[in-house]
Amino acid sequence: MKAKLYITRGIKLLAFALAVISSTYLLQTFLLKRIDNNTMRMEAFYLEEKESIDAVLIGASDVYAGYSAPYAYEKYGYTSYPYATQSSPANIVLPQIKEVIKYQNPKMIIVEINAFMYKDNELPSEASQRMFADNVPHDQIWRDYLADAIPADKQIEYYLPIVKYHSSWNEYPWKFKYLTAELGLKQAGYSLFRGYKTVANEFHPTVKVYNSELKDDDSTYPLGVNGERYLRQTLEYLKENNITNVVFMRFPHIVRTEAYSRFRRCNEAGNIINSYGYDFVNLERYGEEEGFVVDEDFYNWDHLNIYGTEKLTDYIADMLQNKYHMTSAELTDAQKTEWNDSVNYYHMIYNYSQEMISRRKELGKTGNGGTTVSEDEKSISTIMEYARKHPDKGKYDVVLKDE
Amino acid sequence: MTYTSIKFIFFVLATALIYFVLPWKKYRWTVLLAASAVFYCLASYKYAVFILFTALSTLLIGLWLDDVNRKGKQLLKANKGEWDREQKKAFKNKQKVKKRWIMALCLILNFGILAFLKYYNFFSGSLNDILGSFGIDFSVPTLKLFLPLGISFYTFQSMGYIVDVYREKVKPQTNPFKFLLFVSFFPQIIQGPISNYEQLGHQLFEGHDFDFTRFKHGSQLILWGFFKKLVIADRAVVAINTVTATYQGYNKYSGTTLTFTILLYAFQLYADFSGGIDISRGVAQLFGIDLIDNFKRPYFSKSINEYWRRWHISLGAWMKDYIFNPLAISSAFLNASKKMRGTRFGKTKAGSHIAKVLPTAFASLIVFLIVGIWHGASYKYVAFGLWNGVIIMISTLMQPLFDGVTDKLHINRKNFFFRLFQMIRTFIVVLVGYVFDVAPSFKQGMMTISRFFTDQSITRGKTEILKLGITWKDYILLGVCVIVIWIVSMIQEKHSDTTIREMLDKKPFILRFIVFFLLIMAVIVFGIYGSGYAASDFVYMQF
Repeated sequence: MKAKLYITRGIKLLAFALAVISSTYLLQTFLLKRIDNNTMRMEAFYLEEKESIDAVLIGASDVYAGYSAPYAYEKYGYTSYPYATQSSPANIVLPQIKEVIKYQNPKMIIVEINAFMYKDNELPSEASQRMFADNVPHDQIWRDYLADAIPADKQIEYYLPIVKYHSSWNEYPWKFKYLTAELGLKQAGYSLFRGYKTVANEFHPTVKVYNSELKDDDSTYPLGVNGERYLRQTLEYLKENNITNVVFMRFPHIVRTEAYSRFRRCNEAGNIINSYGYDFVNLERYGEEEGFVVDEDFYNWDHLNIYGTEKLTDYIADMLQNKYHMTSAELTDAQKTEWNDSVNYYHMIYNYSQEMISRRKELGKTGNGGTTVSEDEKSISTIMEYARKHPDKGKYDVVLKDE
Repeated sequence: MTYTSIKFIFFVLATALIYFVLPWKKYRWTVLLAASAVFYCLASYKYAVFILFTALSTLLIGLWLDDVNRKGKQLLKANKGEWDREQKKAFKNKQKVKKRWIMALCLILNFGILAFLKYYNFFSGSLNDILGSFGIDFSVPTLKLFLPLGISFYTFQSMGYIVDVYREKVKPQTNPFKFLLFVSFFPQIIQGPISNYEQLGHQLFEGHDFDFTRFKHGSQLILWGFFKKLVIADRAVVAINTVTATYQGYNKYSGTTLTFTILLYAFQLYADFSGGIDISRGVAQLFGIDLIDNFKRPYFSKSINEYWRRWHISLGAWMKDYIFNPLAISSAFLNASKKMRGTRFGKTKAGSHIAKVLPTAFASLIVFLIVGIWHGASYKYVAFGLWNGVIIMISTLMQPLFDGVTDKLHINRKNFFFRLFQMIRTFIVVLVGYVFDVAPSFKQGMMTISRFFTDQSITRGKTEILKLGITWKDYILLGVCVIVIWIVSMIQEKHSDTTIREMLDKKPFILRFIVFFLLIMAVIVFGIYGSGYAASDFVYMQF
């Protein structure tokens, strides 16, 4: 009799515990989590078939805003991906490289060095750490990263993210635009934008900028202690493991007085990178020479707009194919269809952004601001709506799929 | 390690496991003692010396009192045939005085420590103000003093014990470790309830067997406490703190926002304190120990007197037993009453009533003054205590007048709307008292009250309320939670002889499953916890 009672109680308790645990798991996996364009970009990287990406670009927002993988595919025939998150700090560069090699093993890796430029008093925010840590597989690389970067008492929140994100219920219904896009992404098995995000704006600085004077400026300024430590750690790792297919870059930025010391730190970083035998391409210094125009190609001080994106992508494609002789992967028909789909979306982004930029210019708006286009439901429907209404407007033809 | 932390849950589970696994039932209380020591030292090991001193001094003085009692009785017995009545009376009086002095020694020692740590700076500051106003260039230094965890609660509990020993209501504890457990029992050390030895002592020391139903009910009570504390109190406190963060807040916000803040505070304080007590009682229940309930739907009270019988019941009971009753029957108060009866006014109907209730009324005023000061060393708490005390005093003294008016107006006292009116009236009186609790100082409390009447603006209020650090969605959630608490309270009020948990036990499994599943998910999803959402300390922890 007693045994029966104990068994009944045990089953009830187990059922209750299971219901609570599984509901919590479902909530943290699907609803109560951090989700934005960074999440989508990172998740989509892991959906790509291994060794189907020829070049991976690692870095911060400068990377995903300044480089378009679909454009590179359409024009140059190689596949690429911006494995980048907003304000990505120095301590995640090496784990990012390890992840990229482990899950994709591309022919070339480009590392944008923004992460190493932070001063010692500019500590990485928890959000910038989490944009990486929340969205990668929980493997040994991830565990090593946590051990290095996250205090032991905070690590529970990475293993059990609902502790951190349970209050994100408050972000609904706004967050649905990403959730539905994420659902689409997972269903399709690839990213429509291939990580690209832009802001439709043409930025005209109103203070003195130094870009035209930087070509001959090789002055340096010490990196922050952490920046230099992680840069050297990354280079040593690459060297020790004989990883040679890596090139370091500084993407174009507008250099004003406040950013001049950062420019000098870039020169310093370049010297360190070169001392380990790796190439460093500084487009902050030589940007003007390479055709980047301050008043046309940026949407704010640090990010290229759609016009700048095409110039930078052209530059990188030329560098990869002609300097590093990178060949393109053999894609299956299905993969080609997926990439062509992304190309079509890129056309829509371009045409819509072009229109928004000219409208802003007509209104005399040339400061910060503009319309953000990222892989979320709202942006997707907006660019599609625009393409539907203007089938033959803009630089590209858009082929709309049957709905 | 706060009561709402994951660490505390594991700590409790580990303690429970060791407690029930220990084969020697007789010694299971040692597990509770060890857990209480660990809990206290983790929170405040530097100040553990204070609680040890209180426990030891109270234990020894309790034994001394018992010794005096015993020896006195032996002497009386030995001289039974030799002493006449007068001699016996004189001896008893002598004994009584001696015991009183011994008890006073304990009270002075322990309340002295509490008063020094809690009130020294308040009194030195006040004294300096007075000296300064007379132009005397002398200042009493202020000291950097820290309050040991739970000092108000364990001091009151220990002093209750010593008075009970003095009154020979309880036999003194001889085992210092057992007594230390009574003083430091970890589920109640942070914010009570203040238990008496007669009710709690034997429960702590007897070894309880594992009882599934008690364990289940304890866990459910803890969960309910978590809901109140993490979902309601810690959410509401964000908005309250935004308003009270700066002095400028009182000028910055409209009277409407301030009124709303006080209303919000009423719910926050109730959820925080009663939630904490639920956790304390739930944890104790896991071990088979019943702590007294500290709340009985206080906002349903129809008078301020009733409110204090329903709010912080253990403090109220302590005050009644150890301060109110001795004062009300003290010769000074009874003589004053007698004198008044002898006057011309005392012979009138009203005068006779006033003379009769005068000791009670004055005792109430003094008790509430002490309750106010117990809450903190500040004039605002004095004002809080006096406000309550004066209202109770007036209502006691003028009861016949209020009854007369009610009769004249032919109001049925059982009428729903009349009772509702009484509840709302009492709630408003309580809210005015809370103003002094929330305001940083007495002056700002008075300013807040004046703004209730002079600066009401619904338009401004609506805009301001949405900028207090929580979103409109949080307000909706709080509204839903208040409705849930209200429904639960209504059920409890209707079935006061049983608990909701016992009632639920009689319902089908699936219904219980859904109720507790929703409750636990509400805590997980809507609770304020994790980094960036630090759960606040319990409000009563600071008292």
